[in-house]
Formats: sequence, C-alpha cells, structure tokens
Amino acid sequence: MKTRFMLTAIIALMLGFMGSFTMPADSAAKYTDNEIKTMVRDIQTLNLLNSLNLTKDQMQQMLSVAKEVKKTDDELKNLYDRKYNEMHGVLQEMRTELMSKTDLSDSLKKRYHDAENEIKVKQVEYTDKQKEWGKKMQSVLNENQKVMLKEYQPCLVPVKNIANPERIGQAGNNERIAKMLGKIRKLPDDKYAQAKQMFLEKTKERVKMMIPDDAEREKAVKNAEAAMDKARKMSDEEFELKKDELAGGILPKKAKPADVENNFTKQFLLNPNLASILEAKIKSSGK
Amino acid sequence: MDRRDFLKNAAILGAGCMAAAAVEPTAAEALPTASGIKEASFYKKIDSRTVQCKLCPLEEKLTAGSKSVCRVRSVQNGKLYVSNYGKPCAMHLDPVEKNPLYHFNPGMKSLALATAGCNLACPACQNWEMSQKSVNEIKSYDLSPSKAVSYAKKNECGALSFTFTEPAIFIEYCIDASKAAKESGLKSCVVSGGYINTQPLTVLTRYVDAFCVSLKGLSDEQYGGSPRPSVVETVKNTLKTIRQSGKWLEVACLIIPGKSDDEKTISEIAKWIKDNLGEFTPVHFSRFYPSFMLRNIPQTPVGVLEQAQKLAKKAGIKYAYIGNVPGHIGNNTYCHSCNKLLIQRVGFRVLKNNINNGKCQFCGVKIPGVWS
Ligand SMILES: [Zn+2]
Repeated sequence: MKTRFMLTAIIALMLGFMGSFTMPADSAAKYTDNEIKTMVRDIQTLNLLNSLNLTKDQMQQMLSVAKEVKKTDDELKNLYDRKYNEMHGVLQEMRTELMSKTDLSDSLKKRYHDAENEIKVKQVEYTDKQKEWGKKMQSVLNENQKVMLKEYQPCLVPVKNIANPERIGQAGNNERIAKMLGKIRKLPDDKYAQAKQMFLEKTKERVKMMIPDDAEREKAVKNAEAAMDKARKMSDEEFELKKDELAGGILPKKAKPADVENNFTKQFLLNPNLASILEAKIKSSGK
Repeated sequence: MDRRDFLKNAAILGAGCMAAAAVEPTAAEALPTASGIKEASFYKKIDSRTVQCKLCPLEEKLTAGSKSVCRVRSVQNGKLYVSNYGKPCAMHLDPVEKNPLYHFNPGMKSLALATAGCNLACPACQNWEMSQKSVNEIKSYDLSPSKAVSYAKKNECGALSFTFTEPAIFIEYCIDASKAAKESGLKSCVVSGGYINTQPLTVLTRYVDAFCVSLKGLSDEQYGGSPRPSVVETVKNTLKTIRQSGKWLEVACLIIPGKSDDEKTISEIAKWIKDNLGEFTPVHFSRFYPSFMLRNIPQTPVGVLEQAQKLAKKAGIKYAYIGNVPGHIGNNTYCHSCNKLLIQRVGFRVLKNNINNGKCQFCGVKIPGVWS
C-alpha cells in the first residue's frame, strides 16, 4: 500500500512538473486567447528584463525606442480598425452584388484592393522599422546581456535557484527532477517499469508540442529513458555527482527559433507594451 | 557529534580504534578511517582526560562527552577525533568560477566537496543546512581521498575544491585529499571563512594551490551570530598568511543590505586589501540572498554591488568583481592596463579567454593569476 502510494506520488510529481498548460475551450470566457497571450508575453518580457539587470541608463535608452514602437503599433492598430471596417463594408456589398450578378463591379474590386494594399504597405514599413528598432535595442545591451538574450528560456515563473544560474531566466531547475530520480532509484523493479512507462508516455505527448522534428523528438524520449535507467545503476556517490546532469537529460529542451537573437528581440524587446513596462521599472528602480 | 554518536561510530571501528588510541598522536596517519573517524591533527593534551583543540582561535578544551562548536570533534580516551574524515555531505562537479576563483585556471572543472560542520555561525550562511549540522544529522557519503581523486579524474576535473561549509574543520581530509590530488597531477582549492589558527593554516598552504577567503567586514559585529573571539583579526591574519605563502588568493565580500553595504565599510575593506594583500588581489562583491537567520533582509540591489565595485577600483583594487548576479558584466575580467575584455563569463561559464601565456593578448601586460 505504502509502495503504491509512493509510486503514485512520484509519477504525479514528475508528470505535474512536465504537464503542459492548456486553456479550457470556453466560448463565454471573459478574456480572449489573444489577451491571455499578450499577458504571457508581458510576463516573459519582464522575466527577461529582470535577468538582464539593466542599468537605469540602459532602460532610458530602450524606453525612447519602445515609445516609438508603441506609437507605430498604435497607428497600425488604428489603421487595421479603419481598414477592416472599410473592408467589411466592401465585402458585404460584394456578397449582396453576387446574390444577383455573376461578377463584381470594378469599383468594388478597387476599393477592396486599395484597403488591402494600404495595410500591406504599412505592414512592410512596420517590418522594416522593426529591424531598425531591433538593432537599436541590441546596441544598448552589453556583451553579456546579448548572450543572455540569446540563451533566454521564456518563462512565467522567475528563476529561483541562484546555485545554478547558468540557465538564465529559466524557471524550472533540475533540482526537483533530480530529487524524483533519487526516489526512483529506490523503487523495486516492477514498480519502476510501471513508473517509467507512464512517464515516457507523458514525455512523448509533451515533446510533440515542444520539438517539431520527428527524429529529435524520438531522441529526447530515448534520452529521458536512458537517464532514468542510468540513475538506477549508479552508486550513491556517482548519483550525487551526476544527478543534475541526468535530470537535465530527462527534461526535453524546447526547440529554439532560428536566428534566436533577432527573434527574441522582436518578441520581447519590441513588445508594444515594453514602454509601459520600462516606465514602471524605471520608477521602481529609483526607490 | 554527541557521545552516543561517537560510541556508535567507535563500535563500528571496533577494537582497531581502541588499540590505536593507546598510541601517541604521531601515529595519527595510521589510524582507521572508516565511518569518518580519524584522530585530529591539531590539538594538545592537557591531562589524561582533557585535550585542547588548536585548530581555530576557539581553542576549546574538550573532555569525553563534550561537544566541539564545529560539531565534528570529540574526545575519546584522552585523544581528539574528527567524525567527518572522508565523509562529504555535498559532492558537485563545478567550474572553479563557482568558488569563486576567477584568476585560477578559468573554466577548469573541479570536484567540489564539503562535510558537515563549521566553526562559525554566520547569520547569512547560504549552506547552513550543512554547516550547522553534525555528520550524523545529514546524509554523508564515503569518499576517501583516493576515491575523491579517482572520481575527479573520471569526471575530467582538473582540481578538487573544498567549499560550501568550512574546510578548516575538515582540514585532515582536506590535507590528505590535496596530497593525493597533487600526486595525481590535480590541483586543489579551498574556499574558507578564514577562522583558523596560523599553524594549521601554514600546513594547509603547503598542499593547497588556491584559496578564496571570505571577508565579511572589518568589525566583529559584522560577523554576527554566536560570539567568537577575534574573528576579524583571525581572518585578516589568514589572508596575510596565505598571501605570504605564495599560493593564489582571492577575497569574497558578501554585501548585506543594512549591514555591510555602506560606502565607508566597502572603501575600508578595499583599502585594507590593497594595503595588506596587494592591488592585484581579485575581490568579489557577492550579492546576499535572504537565508538562515537573515530571511527578513532583502537581496542586495545590483546597484549597490556596482557601487562597491566602483569604490574598490577607486581604492586601487585592479580586479573587483560582482558575484551572485549571473551574467552581469561585472563578472568579466578586463585588462588592468588596456581595459580590453580578457575573460567573458556568463553564469559560471567562460565564453571568451583572451589571456595568452598569462599575458593580455592585446597589450601584452602580465595578468596576475594562475593560468595553466
Ligand atoms: Zn591589456
């Protein structure tokens, strides 16, 4: 009974740690998916900024770019509002016209394409500006902060463990998995086989969302299995020395985007909400 | 270790220990070392029942059944024994940067070891769960000096590091493991609070290659916790003794808000280091994180550490660093002559090293440290 309870507890803890965050499908939800995504992005931006330890001067320099980002973003959003309204009207007219005719009038086609083109032109301009702002933002960072930006693991819960600060901004650390591995070492063979199977099934599901490449996904699951098996074969001393490394092998690594520096710059440092975030940070840093 | 613990360990050793106890202290090396029991190296017999520990300024007089402040020394049959020999409670594979040692073989991996116990009780101790415990109160491993060396080699370490708690109180293990390391071509490092008498320290410096000693302030009050005689004077003496030994030395200063973060204290510490240990002694200003008895104090603001670094440089310290702030530019080494980036560190990783044969790659000036 006790073993069964322990096994369940281990699996629950490991799976809990590996479990993914899913949104309930509720059409009457108070907040939209986009609003939640925006909030997540802001928190991830904050965790990045906090781990960069920006000086007040750096924050001021970034703020002037961030204000420009915000202004242009607002303008683009206004344009979307206006143009989508316009396009919606044109589309309605198109639908009505097509009820009685087999072709559309040239003026309707032109009005639609004009609205669409205006959006496209602004989008291209915005993308060009983003490149320019991105360069400006990166030039504010020192050589270490640039490395930290590239190595950032987007997270919601800020890093807690200073003993292992190598993984900048990483919320989870290996300690919990290492502890679980310690417990798994003590399980009898049959219970271990059961625990391993459950854990690997969950890992397979988890990597589906994290790693796009089939071969890499398979490799991640095999690594996790190998790490668990290895942990059980080690002496106490060896396990103590290698537990962090083993735990690291168990956690699948989320595939990083290509050109991570520019990608993260765009995602976090060109976040349209960065200006208000920086203003709050500058205010609190003066206290 | 209390009397019951001692007797339990002694029973495991059996007659061997009892027989050895009748031999004079010079035979200490030959005593059995199972279960962490070994005759202490630094003590004096007062009478048939009483011994005086000579390891640190506490110089405790102990009799059978009495506990040492460091929790790892006790008396049996008129002799002083340690209970932590070859019994590390922490074993890690860490770069030497973690000690911190920034001018000693950058990027070198070391086998970091610590046993239970400490002769200080610093209120800000980050490792109090190990340092304020006896061997029997926490899980410890069996790792003889030769086994430590073999693990280190197997895991591609270039050194052993004695750290986390207080190597002074496991000096017997530390010396033997350092000797074994040297014989195998490995180096050894000690990270210490520096509360140790000159004689044992002098012996230790013969076998250890690099030291990082913590200087928490220039007044005994800054050490807080249980009162210890002349802490600051002892730590200063330790620093000077290591400097005179010619072994590599770096100094770590923990900056605690409201306790050791005022500009006057920081400037005085920097001046003392420059005057007594030399301008090329690397100094690490470490960020405090709420811990042990100081959970009510917030972590040190990064700005305070940046200011400490500036003050130290102003006082003439050539290599002042910021510690415990991963990725901060204050972790990098810049040439004292041309100010170019020599070593880039993020976390404990070395990303760039522009030191060639101990010299700045850009201006050729000799950079203080041990580079190979
Ligand atoms: Zn130079």
